[in-house]
Amino acid sequence: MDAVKQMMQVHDLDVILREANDRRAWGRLGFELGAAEGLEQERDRLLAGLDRRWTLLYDRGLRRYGRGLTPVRERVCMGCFVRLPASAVRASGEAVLHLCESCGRLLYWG
Amino acid sequence: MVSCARGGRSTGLAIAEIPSIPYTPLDILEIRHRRRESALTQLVAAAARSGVLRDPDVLLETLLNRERLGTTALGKGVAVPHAHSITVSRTHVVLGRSVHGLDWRAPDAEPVRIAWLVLTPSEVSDEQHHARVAVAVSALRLQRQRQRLIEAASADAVLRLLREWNAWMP
Repeated sequence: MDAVKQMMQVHDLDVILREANDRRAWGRLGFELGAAEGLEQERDRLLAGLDRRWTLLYDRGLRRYGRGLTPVRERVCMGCFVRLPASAVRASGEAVLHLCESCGRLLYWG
Repeated sequence: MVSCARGGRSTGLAIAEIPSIPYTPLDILEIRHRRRESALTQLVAAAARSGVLRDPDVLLETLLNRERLGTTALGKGVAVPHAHSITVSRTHVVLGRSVHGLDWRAPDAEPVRIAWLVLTPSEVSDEQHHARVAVAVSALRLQRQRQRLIEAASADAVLRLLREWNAWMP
């Protein structure tokens, strides 16, 4: 699996883990939540396979903004809504990880 | 400008002027499978066809991980799988219906007849995602409403019902 997909999965696992930490709100809707240890292990396994440069940026974004990874839409960072410079244009159409130089968020550009 | 010719004369109708099919924030489909994993695959494929996913594989993995935390079946034949995911580019709903029922490990062991997939982009707040799921849960609470959803013939008909019940949050 490539690094971009791995990072997306880590992001989504963190969202699910937040849901696990908010059992009361989800329980009121009727969802019965079990133990989250297996998901935490899966998160650790995915992070261990990633370049440390990305994992540091991811953790910093998670601590600072509550989200480790932010999408780019129409060349705009969806975290701070600043347009990325023209020099940041991807060489090909494939998804990449990128750093927002305005807010420091790790970006998913796909 | 490219134009369509009829009888040797240009009609002046540019291809760019032909309206595209409008985006509908709801898909409706009949689930052919019996297992939860296969049903989720079919629901994700429907969302991918609507162009709201950046990466369907990641979304499927996310939905399966969510099921590992606890089943999203609520009993009485309904399930509300949901994802607040980086791979979702637009809020979207997929309503899957099953004639035979799906094995979704429901708390009451009833087979699931309606699977209501709620998709929310990651940039939307947790509270808003929770509210979107709550709307789906409330729409499925009453037996007569579930029955009307099962019998609705199209996505438009489902949308009309949900608006009638004040149960639509795009």
